[in-house]
Amino acid sequence: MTKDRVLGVILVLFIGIMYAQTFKFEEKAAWQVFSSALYPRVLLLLIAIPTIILLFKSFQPIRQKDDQQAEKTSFWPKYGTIILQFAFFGIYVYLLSLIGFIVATIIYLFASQANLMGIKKTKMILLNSSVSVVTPIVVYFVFTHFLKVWLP
Amino acid sequence: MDHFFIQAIQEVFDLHTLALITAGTIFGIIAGAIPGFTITMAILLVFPFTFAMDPINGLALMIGVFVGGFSGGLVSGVMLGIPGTPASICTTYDGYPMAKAGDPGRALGIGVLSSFLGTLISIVILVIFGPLVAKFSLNFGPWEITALIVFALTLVASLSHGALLKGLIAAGIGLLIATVGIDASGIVRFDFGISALSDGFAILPVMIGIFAFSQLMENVQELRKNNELQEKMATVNTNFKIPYKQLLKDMWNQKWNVFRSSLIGSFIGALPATGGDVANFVSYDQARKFSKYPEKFGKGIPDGIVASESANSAVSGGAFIPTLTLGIPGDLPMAIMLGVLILHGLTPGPLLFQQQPVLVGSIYVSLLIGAFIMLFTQFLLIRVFTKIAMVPQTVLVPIVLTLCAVGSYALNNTLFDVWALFVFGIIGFLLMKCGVPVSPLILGIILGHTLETELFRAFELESSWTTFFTRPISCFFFLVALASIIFSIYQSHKINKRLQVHADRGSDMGHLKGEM
Repeated sequence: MTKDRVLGVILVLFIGIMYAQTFKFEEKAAWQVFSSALYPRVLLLLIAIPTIILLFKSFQPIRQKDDQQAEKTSFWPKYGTIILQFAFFGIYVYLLSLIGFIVATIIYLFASQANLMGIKKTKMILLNSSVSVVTPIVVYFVFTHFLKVWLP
Repeated sequence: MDHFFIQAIQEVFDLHTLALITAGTIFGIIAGAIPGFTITMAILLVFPFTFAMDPINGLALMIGVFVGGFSGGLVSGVMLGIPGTPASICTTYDGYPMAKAGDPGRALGIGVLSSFLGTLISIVILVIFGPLVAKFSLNFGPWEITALIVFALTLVASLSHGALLKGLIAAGIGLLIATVGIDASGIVRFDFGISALSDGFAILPVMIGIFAFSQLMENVQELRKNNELQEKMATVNTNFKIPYKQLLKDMWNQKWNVFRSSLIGSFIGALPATGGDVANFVSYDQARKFSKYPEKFGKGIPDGIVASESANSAVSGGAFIPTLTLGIPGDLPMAIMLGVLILHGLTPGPLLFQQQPVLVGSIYVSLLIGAFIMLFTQFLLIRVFTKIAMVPQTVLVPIVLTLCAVGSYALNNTLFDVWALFVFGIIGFLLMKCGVPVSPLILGIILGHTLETELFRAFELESSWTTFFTRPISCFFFLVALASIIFSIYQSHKINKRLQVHADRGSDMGHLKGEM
């Protein structure tokens, strides 16, 4: 399945869900020129037209490149770091409300940098630890003292 | 005019405001200098810091980043051969060979001076044409504004790297995201039973998520692909001298090139959907065509650096023209700048010039001061900037993501916005991987609310849809929008045909090789 076909299928599902949702909006009031559902429905139609063309085009025969096969087999080495980065960030947002900004950020920065640069050498561990500790403290200080933004 | 200009000078020549422009410019230069860290990302990161500021200070800081960012891209382009931003790609063509030939100081100096002069010329263009366009656009009714937004969105979509269909889809999704929450009639849409969604999405976390998050993840992926950049960084020598006398001579010889490239940059900046990335290519190409020695381009001559740097910096003044006068941002950094104005309760458009002349004047003055600060800081600290540009992405990415989270939280002091950032980050990354351009998406989100309001206002005033085509300006914008789509289809058809021919030739060669 090509990327375009996957995108097309997901978009069709998305359009379907959003279109169904427009029926849950309140009915048109007497003073409204159009109902609140009209504009989103027009937009969904405007998204649907190129989506259908894209989907249709994705079924046209294309030359299979040799490297596309290689791409399929190397998913984890290619996207593993990215997936971990997203996962760490998701956990970080969850932890923010539980343990507060400074501790959550220290943990997040350390884990995230370890994922990107590794923790095999002492120099790397030292750099990682110092960045992880100093950054949240500086950010917290700047935002709370200078910008009057209270972080969790 | 004179009165508000003097008042604007008084406002900006405050120590606090000057310090903000300086800080913004330095941050912009650093951000521009780091490969993969774009001007848009720098502006997005600075945006939260403006929440507590008044509009003039907030804009002054952002303008500093904007001016510095366009100039900063040349540092890594010259020293590493890797452009800091897409706007300085052509700078590397001649800057890097000149640096490799033992003249890094001269290459950087030419770039800085060209950037400075380009910004100055674009300010003059903004001051002359800004009020004229604003005066003309006072005639715009809801029909013209609707048509203009449709035109801007289709142009952005059709210029999205040849991906017209995906560009249109992205623009549509952007407009749809803007409908989430309470509409003008007080009716809640697309809340899915989640109370936090009834207020809709704040623009900032969505923009940061879609653009910055996905861009940073792309950088992470690039990081794993090759270690070439790290190796280059380790070998860069930052002990160089700037030959000031030689620079003055070079710039005098390049005066027409500076002027022509700055005009090109300002004009391209004023067009919707195009920015520094297009400007530096067009200008470089024109400089080569006008040159008496085109064969020397790409081998380390000042002409190439001047053309690219003066054009990309001149975009700054030009891009402000449609943003301030029509409320239509020309490119992504301007879209965020528009967000700053809206956040501070200002409505960009023709009335801004009448209602907020001091603010408009302070934008001119901030750009001017930003250009001078950029010049001085670049010459004083260019060696430091070169070293900072070598900061490894492995350290930078997590820090920037943390700042993205803090910025999103600071907007409304709610974690919902940080979750929105995360979700839109994933969506943005996946869309990018599918080849969907993010510029039309972000522009759609920003212009979505205005489009709906103006469209419905048009129908309230005149129930017939034909009015959109009987009013000349509105009809003109729709026709140009249609023309841009047709042109894009024609172009992609041509490219596909060419690719097909190349592929056929390739397969024929393959057969021949096989037979041999």
